[in-house]
Amino acid sequence: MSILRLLLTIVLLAFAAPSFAQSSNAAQDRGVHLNPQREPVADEQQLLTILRDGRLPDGKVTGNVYIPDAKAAVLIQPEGRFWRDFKVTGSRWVHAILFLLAVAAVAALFFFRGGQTYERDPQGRRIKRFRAVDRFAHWLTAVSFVLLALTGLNFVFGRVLVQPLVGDAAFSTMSYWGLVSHNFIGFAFILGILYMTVAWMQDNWFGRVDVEWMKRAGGYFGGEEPPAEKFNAGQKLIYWISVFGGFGIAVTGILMMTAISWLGVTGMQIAQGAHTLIAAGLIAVVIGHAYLGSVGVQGSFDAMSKGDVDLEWARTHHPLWVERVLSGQETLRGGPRRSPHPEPAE
Amino acid sequence: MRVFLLSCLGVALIAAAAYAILEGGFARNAGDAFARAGSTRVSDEYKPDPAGYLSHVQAPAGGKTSGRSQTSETAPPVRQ
Repeated sequence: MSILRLLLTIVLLAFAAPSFAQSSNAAQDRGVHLNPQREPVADEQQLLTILRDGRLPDGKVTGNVYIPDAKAAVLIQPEGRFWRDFKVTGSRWVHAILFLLAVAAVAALFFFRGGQTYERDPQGRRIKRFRAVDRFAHWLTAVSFVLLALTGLNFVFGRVLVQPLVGDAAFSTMSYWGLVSHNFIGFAFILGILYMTVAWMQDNWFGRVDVEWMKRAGGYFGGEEPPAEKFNAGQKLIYWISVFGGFGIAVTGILMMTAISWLGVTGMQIAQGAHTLIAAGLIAVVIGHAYLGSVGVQGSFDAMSKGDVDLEWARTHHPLWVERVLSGQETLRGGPRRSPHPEPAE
Repeated sequence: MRVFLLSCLGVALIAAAAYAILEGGFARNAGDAFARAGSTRVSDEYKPDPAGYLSHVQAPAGGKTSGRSQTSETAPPVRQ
């Protein structure tokens, strides 16, 4: 294919080149036969001027090709230059800035606020927070997301950070298998997002208590923590960002796996740009989520590692939910009705 | 942490299943699209008008039948 592209480029440039004799000789060396009786009809500068003035109906300079790959006939696509600049420079800046902002925010919270502690229930009672299937879906999404982020970031920073360290051959092999892994691990991520979207949606609609929680920033910077349901407003925000971001990144990712003739070159460029921008945002959000779900709010990691949490922790952070559980109003879908009185931990 | 380990296994299994099911599919998809677009490798409309805009470009020697690019050795003599 690269040979065909080279051949095509030579053919196209040959009729646009100012020096026909020189082009003809160079082309013939590569097996392209031009009619020596015919002068070229335009030079590249002329084509660029016409393009800049907007005198071409579709905004592109195209020629004719003999190969079936019609997109190869495009000699100059101005959007391609913008996309190339974005891919080589812009997306790196976006990723780097969002990543550093997230890390800086987490570091600032850790050093100036520290991890939120909680008082344990004196009787050691615990309350069920997530079923095994919920935790499975969460970790399925989390593990696949980390792998996707690592293999994806290789496309953004690999040439700058990894290639100089490991060499061209190793980087090439690594990137190839990184791409294959990225493409197919993505389906585990999609399944996880789909499950969480359906299973957790009813607990993530915003209500009046969430407005109050937002106004007081969850009491994270002082004052009493506002009451919250099973998920507080911050967690709900992360849920909706994950849902919309997850679907956005899934759709653009699948589109990029289809044949390029389906979307066209411009469509692929838009899909790739959207994919990497959404990914940059999601990575930043997930860094914050991982901190708050572990070190930032002590005791919360139990919810996803063990499935249950200390009763006092739940009363501190999600009193409205605990109230509902203890009064027996809430049942787990697909599971038995919860005991109105939490059992002591074993 | 048993659930976490299971989910790691789940990621590997889902990725492997997706690879087994879809890898051929995507390749076929791309191949089909390519084949449709190139069902006639060199049609009349692609051939340059002998006296027109691209008359300095010769028709390829391979193309429809052989499916290969012409080379200096295989190309026909330049038409005058």
